[in-house]
Amino acid sequence: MSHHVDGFAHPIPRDRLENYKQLVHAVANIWKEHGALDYWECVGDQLHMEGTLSFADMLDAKEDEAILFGWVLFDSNETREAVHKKVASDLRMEKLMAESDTGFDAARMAWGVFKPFEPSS
Amino acid sequence: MGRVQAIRTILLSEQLQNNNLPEEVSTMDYIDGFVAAVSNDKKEEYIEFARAAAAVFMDHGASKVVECWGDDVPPGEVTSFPKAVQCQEDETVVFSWVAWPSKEARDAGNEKVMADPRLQSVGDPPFDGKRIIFGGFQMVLEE
Repeated sequence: MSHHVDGFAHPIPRDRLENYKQLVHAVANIWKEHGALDYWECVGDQLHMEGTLSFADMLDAKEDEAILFGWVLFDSNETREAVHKKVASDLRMEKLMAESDTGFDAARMAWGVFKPFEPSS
Repeated sequence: MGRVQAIRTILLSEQLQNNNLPEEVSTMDYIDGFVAAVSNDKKEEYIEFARAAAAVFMDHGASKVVECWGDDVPPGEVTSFPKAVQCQEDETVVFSWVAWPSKEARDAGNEKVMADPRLQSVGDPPFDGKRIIFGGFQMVLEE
């Protein structure tokens, strides 16, 4: 059994960032309730560094959009798949998404499943 | 709520009570996020490089370094990690982050990391440094 991570990045209109943060708090609790070990999300602060590619360019973000970068941790890929199913069929998720005004667009999200390791431990 | 977060909340509320809240209070952790493409046959080399680099980051104040090797990273239609790093067929996307206690610690720490001779002696990273996505992020949520 090895830990698995859903890693993702996506844009959110800056004027709706506070709405999005509130949504994330509620959503993270649902993911954890269904078995995710941890849920992190952070917002872009310094996105243009000489000699590197930018998350903003990757997401084709406009100037009035913030970039969110996050990950969800699971104890195995089996748990990850089971939790995804439970979250997808949780009616609270549907309600939260319908009631919140965040400008979130799943089609503009980059994501993937990864196997994490801590190189310093 | 994590213990660190709880301590911060207490400190912050004490500062509020004392009415001497500094203008800029950094209560959130800071994250440097990376995405890159690594050749599959260089996986072991990459892990060794990551170990050496993580030790340097931790010595200069990082709280945690996590490296994630791609397991299922879809190419996507509109946008995707593989597209962004021009991931080739014989390469895998890695998704990594370095956590810092604050932005100040991160700025100071990264400067020391860059000047650390150990990083120079590790040699060139086993991936194309021109195809790395990098960003500094403020923590929104740590559950």
